[in-house]
Amino acid sequence: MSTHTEGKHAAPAAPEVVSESEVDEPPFVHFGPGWLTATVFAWLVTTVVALALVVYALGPLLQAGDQRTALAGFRGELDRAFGASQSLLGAATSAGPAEFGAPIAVLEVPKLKLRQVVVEGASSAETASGPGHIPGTSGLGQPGNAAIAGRLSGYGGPFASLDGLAAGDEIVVATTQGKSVYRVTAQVTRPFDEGADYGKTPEDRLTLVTSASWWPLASSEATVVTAALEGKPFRPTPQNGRADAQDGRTGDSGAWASLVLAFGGFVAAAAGATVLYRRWRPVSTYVITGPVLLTLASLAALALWRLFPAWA
Amino acid sequence: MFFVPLRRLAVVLACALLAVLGVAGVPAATAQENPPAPPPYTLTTIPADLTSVQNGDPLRVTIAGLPAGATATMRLCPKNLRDSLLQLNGVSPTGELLWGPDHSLLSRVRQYCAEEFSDELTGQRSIAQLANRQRSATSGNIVFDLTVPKGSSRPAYVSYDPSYTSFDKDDVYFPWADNPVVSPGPPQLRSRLYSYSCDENNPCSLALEITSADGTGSFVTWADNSRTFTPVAPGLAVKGCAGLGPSTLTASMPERFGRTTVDWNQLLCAPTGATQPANIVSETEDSALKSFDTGASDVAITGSGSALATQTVRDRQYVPVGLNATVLAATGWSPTDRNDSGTPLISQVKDSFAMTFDELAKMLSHGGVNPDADGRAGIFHDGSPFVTRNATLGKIVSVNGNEGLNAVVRAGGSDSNNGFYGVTGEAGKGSVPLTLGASLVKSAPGSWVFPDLKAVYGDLAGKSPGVITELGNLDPTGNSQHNTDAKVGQLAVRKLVDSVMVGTGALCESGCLNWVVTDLATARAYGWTPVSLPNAAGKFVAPTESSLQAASASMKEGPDGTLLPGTATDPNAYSMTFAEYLVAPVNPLIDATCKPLQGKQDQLKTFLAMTRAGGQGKLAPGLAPLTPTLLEEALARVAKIGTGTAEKACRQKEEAQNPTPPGATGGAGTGAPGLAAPATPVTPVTNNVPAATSGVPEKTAAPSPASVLAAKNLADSVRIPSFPGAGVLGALIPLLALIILATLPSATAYLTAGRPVPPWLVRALAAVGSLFSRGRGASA
Repeated sequence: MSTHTEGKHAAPAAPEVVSESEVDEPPFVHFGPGWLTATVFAWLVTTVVALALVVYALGPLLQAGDQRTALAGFRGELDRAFGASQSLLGAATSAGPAEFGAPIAVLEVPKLKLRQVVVEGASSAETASGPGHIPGTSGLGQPGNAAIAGRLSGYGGPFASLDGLAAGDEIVVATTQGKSVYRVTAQVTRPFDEGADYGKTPEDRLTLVTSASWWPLASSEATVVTAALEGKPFRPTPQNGRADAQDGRTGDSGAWASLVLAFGGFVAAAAGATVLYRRWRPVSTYVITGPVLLTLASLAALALWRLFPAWA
Repeated sequence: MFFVPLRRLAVVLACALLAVLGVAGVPAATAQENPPAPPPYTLTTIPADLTSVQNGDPLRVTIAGLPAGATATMRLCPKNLRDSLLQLNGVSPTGELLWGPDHSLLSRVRQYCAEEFSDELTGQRSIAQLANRQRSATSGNIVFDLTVPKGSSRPAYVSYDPSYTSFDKDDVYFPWADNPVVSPGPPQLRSRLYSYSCDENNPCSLALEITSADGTGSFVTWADNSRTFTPVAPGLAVKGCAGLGPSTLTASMPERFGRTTVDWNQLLCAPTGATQPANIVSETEDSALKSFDTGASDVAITGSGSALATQTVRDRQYVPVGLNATVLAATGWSPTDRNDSGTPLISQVKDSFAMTFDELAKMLSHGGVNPDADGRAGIFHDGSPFVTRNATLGKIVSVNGNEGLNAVVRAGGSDSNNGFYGVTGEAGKGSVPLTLGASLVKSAPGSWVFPDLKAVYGDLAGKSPGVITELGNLDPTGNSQHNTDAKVGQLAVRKLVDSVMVGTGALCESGCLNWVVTDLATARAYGWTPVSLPNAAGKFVAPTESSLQAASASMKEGPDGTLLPGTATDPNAYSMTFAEYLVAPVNPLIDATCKPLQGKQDQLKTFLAMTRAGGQGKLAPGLAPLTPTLLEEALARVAKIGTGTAEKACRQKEEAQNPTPPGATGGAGTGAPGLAAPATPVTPVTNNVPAATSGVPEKTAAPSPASVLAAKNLADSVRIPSFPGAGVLGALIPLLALIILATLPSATAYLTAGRPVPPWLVRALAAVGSLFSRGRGASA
């Protein structure tokens, strides 16, 4: 019968006793410049891969969860609106602007087979849940220019195929006032022009905006789809005011604190795990450090992504 | 084999027999084909004109002039009732069945109108369908108390209509059958089921099957479908006018004043077809006052001056326009009548119950759960002063004879599964709860106290609810004891109590009740019966025009010049009276650039003049006209409207829209001390006004039930998959990502630690590499 004692490998004074299964294991790597370079490179790759996986692979799952919640909430709003429309004095209008993050509409683009719940606001946190209505622009289905920004690639990239739209394609928006049909008039890729894309227009139109580049930090080139409303717009309701942080291409600077906390935790956990792997049995170390690393890597990735433009 | 056709023949004959069983069941009844010439009855309805009734409107159908023992059954039928029935006329000598047309109205009513009719308002089956009533021995009449139905019948087969029969054409006995099976196997589906609708596009009739003894003592059955009706969805519409115009005033008001404002509009614009003077925006009173203050509305209606206002920046006059009252109203049925055999007969509760302030206070503050125990403070128990004082109430008993449950039936609670315990009312801040609270604080201070249950009433346990501003204040914590189950909007309140109102279900056979805390105009509109309350001399006084006017004459005025609820002292006064005020601006009406709107100002002047003159005769039922004193007061206040300056209006509008934060000096005014809590955000409700056909055309569309329904249908059709993406790959990608995320950082840490790559992993990687190489070699 043989035993294995953790942490005794580097102690030359003690006779090393190993298990039969580890008899053939190669020796530990000697620390040196090569090891250091490889380590730095390995952690960089790990960080980038984790970031990409969280947003591109798990992001759609997270976004779908948010969309389901938003859809349930919006259906409740519609039920109430429908009840009010049948009430003694007719349909309801909202007393004030919608809260940021609240579901305000369902957007349907038949050609793209796209059906998304639109939320109020277009900060990075909001577009992670779904396309966001740009505050300061008209209400959806209402007079003037109503704008929506959505992500190109992160969190499912609901607007990934926006460049596939062409003049004449139909876009449908359902709000608590009713269903509005827009017809695409133009689809262009050009430098984003806040005045033209989010400004007031004499005609009643819908503007869909997303990034034109796969690079998540890109914030200048935009794919812009404009569509004209068919029929009469619904009565205007109070809207939120314009805010620089809510234009769809700005990151959330408030995420720095979360990032520092989560990434700092991740670095600490990684260092701890490295030490423990050197001293403890690998399985025990994994059980203890694996979940911590997973959680902190995910949190750090989510926080980092919030710093990137909201349409990425 | 011989017995098979014989059995089928027997089935056919049995079906035919069943079809006329109703007639056969009545002793010595004669058939409809041979009715006595002049019907011996008179049929009346309230309202008499049924051409423009709304779904849910109270409807009374009375059949008078019939002798004792008469009965009647009501069915809802299409106005143009189908006439395609066949009947069996006999059997030919060769054994062939002889079929012929059956044009009898009675047969058609029975066969085409026999299925349940679903009412849109209540979401339940309509009481009007297959309602049976007996002649009252006391009045000599057969009375149907109903609500106007709107909806459609349950699709069903009609046995003897070839197009809708469930018989097979192949069957030798029904060669006329023409409703083929399209989906064999149980249950069989055929190409057609018969159904009909009653709505604005499909007029219907109240088809009555009346059975009574004729002059010879024989029982005769008549079918009468002479009363037709065209039900429309409930709502308010200004008729005969040209929609909104540039001078149309925006008027914010509680729902209770909507009917009056519609009539006032029509009074001014219908004779000439002009544009509508006032666009009705329905809001709770605190929101209406806020809208007025900020300039979103030109005028507002409130019943309690500035008590519910969260800010009073805009100079205003409170012009009295009518008198109203807070009431506790009962709706339901009581077995107070008797039929000709002496058996109790339920009829709608129309007697005004007499209730003391202590009973009212306890009923609304001591919890609504378990009224058979200590819920509602036990006021509904057998032998309680309240039940003893009101004979009609005492007659309402549990259907199964369980005396312990009598209190439950009287207190209401038939829908406890849905969290309704018998008392409801409109949610949101308003003069109705405020008047209730102000009266009970003064008249029943010892009873207007929450039980000392900390878990239920929180910090208010053992304390008075005080002058409440909304019914929700009576259940201050999430652990509600259902003192009131308030609902948003009158429609929701009606839906809640209509299940009892229609009197369906076994629970209502021996009577049943629900209670509503509301205002008198609303109670009158829906046929709810207000209770009488004591006056200063202890005499019970019902809310009537005279008792409301008596109250107004003795009420005190508050600092804002409005009558203070709960201060009436006149012996003939109904104590919970309040005055309805139109809030109008002292300064001129202005546009967005602060320019005076002369057209609107003239419209306001005309409108205000109307409210004092012709408008007093057009108040909705339940609202009492102003007394001469209040009319003089109104005249004096109207004279001050529009006397200010546009500059001041502009400045106040800016200030009201950007109020000084609480605590800062020079901030906006507040409501009455101790009353006004911060405003609860509510959703204003605008009426669906048709676009103007003259004046400025409407550039926007108002949301309508159809438009919202279209949006709702789209939202309902959306499905968000749990795993976005195509099929299995959609689920595999996140799973793979999770695996990598779970292993990659740990693997990196493992390698960073200088650990050697495990031999098994080396071997596994080598194997994979080998496989890969072999695969490439083979393909090459």
